[in-house]
Amino acid sequence: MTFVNVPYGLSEYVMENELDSLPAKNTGESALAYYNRIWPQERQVIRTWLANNPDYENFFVMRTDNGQSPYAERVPMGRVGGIGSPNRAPVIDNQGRILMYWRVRSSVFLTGGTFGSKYTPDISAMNPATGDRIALPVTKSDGVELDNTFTMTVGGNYLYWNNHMRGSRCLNLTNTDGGIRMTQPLAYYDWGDFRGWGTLLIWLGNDSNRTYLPPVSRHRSPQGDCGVVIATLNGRPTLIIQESGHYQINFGCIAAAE
Amino acid sequence: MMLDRSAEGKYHMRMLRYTVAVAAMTCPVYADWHMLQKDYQHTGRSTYSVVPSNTARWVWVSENHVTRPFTSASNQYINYPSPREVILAGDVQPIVAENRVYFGATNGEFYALNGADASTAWKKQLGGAVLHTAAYADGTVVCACMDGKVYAWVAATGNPRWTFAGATAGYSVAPIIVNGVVLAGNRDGWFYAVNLADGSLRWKYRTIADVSTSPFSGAPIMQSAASDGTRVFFGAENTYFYALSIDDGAELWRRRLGGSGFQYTWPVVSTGIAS
Repeated sequence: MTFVNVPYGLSEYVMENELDSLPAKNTGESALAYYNRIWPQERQVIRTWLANNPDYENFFVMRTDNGQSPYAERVPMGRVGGIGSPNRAPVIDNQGRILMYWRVRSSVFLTGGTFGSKYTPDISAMNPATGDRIALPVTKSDGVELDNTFTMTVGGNYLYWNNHMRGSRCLNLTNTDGGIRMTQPLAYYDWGDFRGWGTLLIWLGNDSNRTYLPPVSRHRSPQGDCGVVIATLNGRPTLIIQESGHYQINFGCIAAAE
Repeated sequence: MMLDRSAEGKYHMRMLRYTVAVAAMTCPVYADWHMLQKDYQHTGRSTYSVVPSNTARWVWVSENHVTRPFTSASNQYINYPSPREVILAGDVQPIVAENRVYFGATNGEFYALNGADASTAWKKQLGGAVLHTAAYADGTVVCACMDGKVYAWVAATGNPRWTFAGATAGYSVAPIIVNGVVLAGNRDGWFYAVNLADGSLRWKYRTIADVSTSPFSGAPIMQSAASDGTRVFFGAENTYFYALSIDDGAELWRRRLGGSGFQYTWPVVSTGIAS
């Protein structure tokens, strides 16, 4: 099968009313319990929305031999992406799971705050036999913006994120530890207008200094994002991160961490 | 190769190094990253993990601005030249092979860095910007450039192997290499298959919409392709998605999808999954 995400502009808040119509999470209810309770209903809501708004369908699974969907029903993956940026491509983890972003209300892996939507897109697996969502039974107090997701890489049990605007992180797929920030989010101090961009490449544990402003380039890096690279250099396992930049600031550095 | 999957932190790092050292003595450690998202399926998957400490072995900003090592600390910053000397396009993912890191820049420079210290192993000046990721196979590094050419060099030395100049527009995609065939779509609306051995054209395919005479045929290809080993898959800016035979370029199927294009994303192929 092949999986394709398609860019689409201006998608913030689409499908918001439909998600609003779903039952709310109860006080004290775990994210996983909430998913188990409402997902059958939510899945149908999303499929109905996709059927009524086919132009917004932006995730396709196709058989490699004939291009047809292997599923009887749509993959219930609501709209993710926007402002010219697509949803990021799936990755396949070391258990063979197909991990990708899902636009849902019942987020389980990602439960933190977000921007651009009331509900953070979740990272869940896709059941290859049915195209249905399978929530990862681990919760992170983390969230992503609907139109600004991170490109994913998998290494061992870790999921690596990279986003030229928001920095890079890694998250353990098997426990509830919070994500580890690997580089400084470029817009960490954006305050909504990007005046206060902070430090450049700062590794974990040093987020607090706001005194330095990087030089502003006259060039704009073509938009896009790439995942971090995990490879062996001279016999040493190495994480290689490319930091580029949206808007006016270009970083263009490559860092090898270990 | 399974090196480590669960531990974290410094203990994890020490164990990881130890494991690698042992592995190096007993069997070859093969953990390269040869093309966009590691392989031509674009799985984006490595079997082992690396959790960084607060130290980077090196930070490369340009040839003249390399920090070795860089340790995060209060008031510790990377020195950036102003104006910037080298700018990388956002989609450029470094590739790794033969203990080197390879990538191109928007000023047309293509670099091979030594992995140990980010010193320049070799460097080339191309005729246009490099907007995406390079590829490696069989001792050869390949780069598709906005000057409309695909370049191939000997990875170890940088000696030119060949240049393919059969396109009429620029490349803004990452090429993939599948069983000795270099595959890349071009903004001229053609998809090119080039023999890795000598850079000769194996076949080319013009994107067709509903019919070949449609004004939407010949649409630019802005998406990096993926493959399952025998077929190649990609989308064009007419929103059609294509499957071609790598052997002869025959169109196997095409399908119109939604959305507004395929730029900034790539297909992912998963084999061996029931459907």
